[in-house]
Amino acid sequence: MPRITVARTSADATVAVDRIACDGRGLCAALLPERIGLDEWGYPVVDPRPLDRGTALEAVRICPVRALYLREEAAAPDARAKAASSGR
Amino acid sequence: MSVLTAPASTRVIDLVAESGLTGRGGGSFPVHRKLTAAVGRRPRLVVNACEGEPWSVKDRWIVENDPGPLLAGATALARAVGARRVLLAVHEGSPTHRAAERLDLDGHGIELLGAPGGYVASEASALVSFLDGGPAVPVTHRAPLAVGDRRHPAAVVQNAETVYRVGQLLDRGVDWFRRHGTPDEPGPRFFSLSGAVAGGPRVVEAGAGVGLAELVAAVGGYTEPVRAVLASGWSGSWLGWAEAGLVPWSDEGLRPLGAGVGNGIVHLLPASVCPLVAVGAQLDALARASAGQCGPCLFGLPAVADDWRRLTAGEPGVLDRLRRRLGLLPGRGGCHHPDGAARNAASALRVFADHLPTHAQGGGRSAGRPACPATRGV
Repeated sequence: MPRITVARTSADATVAVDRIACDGRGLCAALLPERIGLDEWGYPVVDPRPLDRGTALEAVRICPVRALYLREEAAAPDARAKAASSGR
Repeated sequence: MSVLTAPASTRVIDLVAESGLTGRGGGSFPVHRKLTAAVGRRPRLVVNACEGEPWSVKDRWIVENDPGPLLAGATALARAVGARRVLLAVHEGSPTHRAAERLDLDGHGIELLGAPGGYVASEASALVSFLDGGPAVPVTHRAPLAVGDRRHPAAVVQNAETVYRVGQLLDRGVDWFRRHGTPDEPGPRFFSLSGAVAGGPRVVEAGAGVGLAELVAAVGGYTEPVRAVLASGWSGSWLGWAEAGLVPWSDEGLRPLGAGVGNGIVHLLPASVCPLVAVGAQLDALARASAGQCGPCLFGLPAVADDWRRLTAGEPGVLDRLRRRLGLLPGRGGCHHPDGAARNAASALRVFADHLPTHAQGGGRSAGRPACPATRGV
């Protein structure tokens, strides 16, 4: 079964928060005020609209607890290959 | 491929798909889809009989009174998905735990999983975390639990009643199953009636689309006048008594009123109980029950419970802040716990809108008892 690679055709991405890993440090909101605000206790409120991938990746890297991620990377290529090979 | 030559796993999953069975634990997810996702992954099958809410008694009823279809369903599902282990999850020390210990679980290849007490411990990913040696709190999983990841291998978590219904439909057939309920919400299901009924919480079996009057009649009628109905328990939605009596008790019938059947809890709030006190007690309990892992639960739920307490005490200027905070609960937690609390409170603000002014007339804390005519608390 050949390894499936995902062709990235879009320059956009959406960011999402691992709510359990997040502990409200707020660096994401400081870097991406156009997409991320903070509630009264410092936890992110995310605008789900897509944004420029490069900017999104910067925010993902800046989170000290790695709680921010790009939504389309949530399903890794090898998981998709495994599902495809199970015969369904 | 004909049904006769198809492998057993396909046959069972096909029958479950044909039946239209959806989850009975509150999520109402089509069961066959979860099973299909797990095939080939040697999943753990967890039959969730924890039933953390005190007003839900249906899963305990199954284990105590009719465990046959539960065990048969678990066995059939385990074979269908190629499960490496089968576990019956209960809260350690609970009545359901004691009843489960009287069953021949070993003979069916089922292990007993005694989860710690506490509402959030029985959340699906919390059970998987606990099963894998971690604490019984929800864990982040970007892939479905039935698919699994490096940290937690594939696990199919099904509510006990869901598995019980699988056992029944494999024995009696899809036609029998679909004779109950509605075409979109088929099959018999349990409702847990509590509040203004005799001897509640009590189990009633019916199909989706049943009328509230029929459910109440099945437990001998209501014991006192009812103000409102809570559908699906403390993470569900409130309905006014009049409107609740006019709709079929199905997701389709309840959706226009912002409610759903969920876990089958039907709680009849007596008119003599102050609804704000009743809701406040639930919000307090929901705040205490959280795993405390994410901002919305750690800070948002206690803040909402506090706002509700102030609203009940007649403090002015609380409502706008409460609404704003409720709006920031859904979809921002590590599980759906904050969503449920928001749903409960928001629906209460709608249904009890006429009751709010009776508390405002009482003024602030210094003004003494509010003018609320209801005579007692929960």
